[in-house]
Amino acid sequence: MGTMFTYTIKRLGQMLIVVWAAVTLMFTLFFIIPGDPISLKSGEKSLPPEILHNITVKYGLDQPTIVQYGRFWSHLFHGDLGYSYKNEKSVNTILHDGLATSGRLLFWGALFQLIIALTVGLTSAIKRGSIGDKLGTVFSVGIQGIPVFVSGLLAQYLFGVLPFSMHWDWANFYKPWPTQWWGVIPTEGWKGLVLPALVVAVVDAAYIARMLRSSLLEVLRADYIRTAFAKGLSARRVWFHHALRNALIPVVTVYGTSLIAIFGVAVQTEKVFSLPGMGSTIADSALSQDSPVVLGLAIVVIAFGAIVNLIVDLSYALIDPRIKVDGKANH
Amino acid sequence: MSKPLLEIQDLHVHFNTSDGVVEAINGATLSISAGEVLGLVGESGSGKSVTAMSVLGLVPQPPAIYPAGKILWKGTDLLTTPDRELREIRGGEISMIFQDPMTSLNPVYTIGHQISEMIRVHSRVSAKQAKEKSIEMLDLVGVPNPRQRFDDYPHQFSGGMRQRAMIAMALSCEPELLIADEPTTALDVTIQAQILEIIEKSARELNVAVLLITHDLGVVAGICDRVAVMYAGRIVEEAPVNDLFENPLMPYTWGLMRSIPQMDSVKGERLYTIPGSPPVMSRPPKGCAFASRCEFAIDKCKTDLPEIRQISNGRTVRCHRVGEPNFALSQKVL
Ligand SMILES: Nc1ncnc2c1ncn2[C@@H]1O[C@H](COP(=O)(O)OP(=O)(O)O)[C@@H](O)[C@H]1O
Ligand SMILES: [Mg+2]
Repeated sequence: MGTMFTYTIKRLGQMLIVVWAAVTLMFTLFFIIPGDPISLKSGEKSLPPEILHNITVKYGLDQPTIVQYGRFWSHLFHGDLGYSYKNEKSVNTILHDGLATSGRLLFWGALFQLIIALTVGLTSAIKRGSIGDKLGTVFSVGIQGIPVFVSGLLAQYLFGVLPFSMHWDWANFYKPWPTQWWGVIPTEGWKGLVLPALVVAVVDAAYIARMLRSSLLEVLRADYIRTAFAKGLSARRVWFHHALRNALIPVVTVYGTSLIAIFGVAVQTEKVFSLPGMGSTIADSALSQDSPVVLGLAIVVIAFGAIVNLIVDLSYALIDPRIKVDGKANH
Repeated sequence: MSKPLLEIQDLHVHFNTSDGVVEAINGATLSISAGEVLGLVGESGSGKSVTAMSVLGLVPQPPAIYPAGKILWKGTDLLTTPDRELREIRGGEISMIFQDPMTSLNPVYTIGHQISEMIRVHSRVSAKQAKEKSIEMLDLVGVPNPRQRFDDYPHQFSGGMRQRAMIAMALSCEPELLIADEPTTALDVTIQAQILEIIEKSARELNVAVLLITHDLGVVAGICDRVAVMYAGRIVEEAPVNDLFENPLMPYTWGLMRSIPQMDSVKGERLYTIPGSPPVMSRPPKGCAFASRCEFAIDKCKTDLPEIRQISNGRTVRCHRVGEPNFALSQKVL
């Protein structure tokens, strides 16, 4: 695995270059774009010029852009992303609080997605042509087009409101579980994440499941599957040991793309479920030109994308020995 | 001759397709004794692979159905054997190698893993013992540096080496029968002879019976004890290899032989080809399936299916005309 290690280091190095380029670009943009964050911060009230000047000096905005740029880097190397213009919190705190919720939503969403995609994909391939398989296909196609703000509200209504308001028998089924689970009451705890995470998960889970299904059906026609049966292996062993790993190869790419897309989905879902995540921070900071927060967010998003891509590339090489991690195919 | 290991009796295999029922196998009868090397010859599409894969239950059902016939392995019918018991026979007692070694091995596992996996399914041995056995088998089939190559992936093996690995795997659990379905068809001509030699040598060394499937009579001549000729889903002639080449009985066999290029043939002379083409198996003919292409066919051939008849010791044929007092094929063969 020596090559994998050097490859990882190389890719992380590339990631740093991308972060540097993005930060530089954004500094330039903030310099060009008219309007200044301090007067935006003060809102409707017009503050006395001395106070405005004091604030400008406090944030170092009286300095030339190049000095601000240098200062940003020197702070960043000490792990300090600066202070938000808009509220008196440090960007570190804002990101930390936001990520605590968004990160968990993302994690559980991605995990649910993986579980749903694997189970649905595998069973629909094994029981292909069955009623369940056909229903699964209809469901997958249907769910793909539904935006999160529709599916999220629908889910809240179906699980959290309807059973109780209609006094249906099966409302009792939900009774022992706190209402927070269904996202009706916003909460910071993990319980409030169950339904939103499911909403995040199903968007692409259906698509990935269908990919896996067709990939598996393709693999099952392969000669080496016939060989595996001829060896006397059980159907289970053939499916899980010989077919699944080969079938995952094309699915991994889709899963990687979907993980990055999930970031956007999670942001929308937070809004629908009133979760205190990064969602509102992203929108607010961009509108109010709160550049320290925007920069901090950009670094987080870029790093996330780069790390997901790296994991995808590494898992390719782990799944398929014909693929060399540095992009050159073996043989 | 000892009691047969494998007896295929009047096997029928049909496929339900969107274009109707394809009657691929229509009464195939065949037997193999322990340690014997039997060649199964026939044109492409005659049903050799379906027959072979039926023995191991590898033909997917649906689309396949088995309306009649038996496949007796040491007396028990494999067609009605439950999957659990069939799995022990697959690879353990009967193993199989296939036409295309490039696609027959799983690309994501090492050669060694794939051989050891099979050994460990069929016997209670440790991973280490399975590895030693695998290396021993790779050595037997002539893979150089077997200990190093154990950890190679299939893509690091050439076609010929992969087929050797397949043979090593197939023989690793000491089976009693090896079915080789056109094992050299996909390989370079230069390697074909080596692979055939390995199959014959290892099988005789380990006393494994071989069912060697080929569309090439030339392959059969070199290594088989007996030959069965298949046409349109039936065995039309069965004979010891020398008898068959010296004196083919069934006109189809005779036609096949005349289509082999000869060493002493005149340059530029056109090779004989059997006129016409095999019947469409969704509408099989009523009588002998070869009648429409046969120079010797009489009216009866087109209407009545000939029975299998024993002509002499070890020789059977499915032909109305063989044995008629004045009937003779041209004897200028080989
Ligand atoms: N899965 C299948 N569906 C329909 N027909 C099939 C299927 N498999 C084989 N057949 C038919 O069975 C016949 C025999 O095929 P096969 O045994 O592969 O021939 P051979 O190995 O002698 O070339 C062919 O006519 C083929 O079309
Ligand atoms: Mg074939």
